[in-house]
Amino acid sequence: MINNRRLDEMYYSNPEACIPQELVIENVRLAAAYVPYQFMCEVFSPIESLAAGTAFPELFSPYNRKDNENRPCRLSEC
Amino acid sequence: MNNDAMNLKREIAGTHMMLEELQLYLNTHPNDRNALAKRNAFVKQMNILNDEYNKNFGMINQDASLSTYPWQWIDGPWPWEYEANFEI
Repeated sequence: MINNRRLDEMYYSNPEACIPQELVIENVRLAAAYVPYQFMCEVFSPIESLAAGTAFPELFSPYNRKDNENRPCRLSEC
Repeated sequence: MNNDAMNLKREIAGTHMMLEELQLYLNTHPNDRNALAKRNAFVKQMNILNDEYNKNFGMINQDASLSTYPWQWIDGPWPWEYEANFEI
């Protein structure tokens, strides 16, 4: 498990601009799968989490259009 | 089951969800101080809600609740039955 203390401290040093994921991904290769490292910014309330199926807004992305309007913004939209 | 019991059961379910989610996150982010503080707060919350439910409405689950005599768990609706559940 890579030690992410460095990454954590780097991202939490600036609480206003809390971006819920790592943005710079180094040494990626063609066709290698990569999941950006997540950072917790906000969490849903307990009841919202039950409805959304996750406590993390950045992970909430349902398939049906109706709920999809309020999904987390794509990087380009943020 | 009366309304108050249902509302409290919903709150307990929500708290339980937050614990599960934060614990999953902490398993891969053990250094996240904020997540750890939130998780610990929900543990205290869970204890309070469980006690409250146990005191007023009986057993919330088979493992964490005290039972009056005789064994209460078999009285209420089973957890999978409609009456034991709630709308979110």
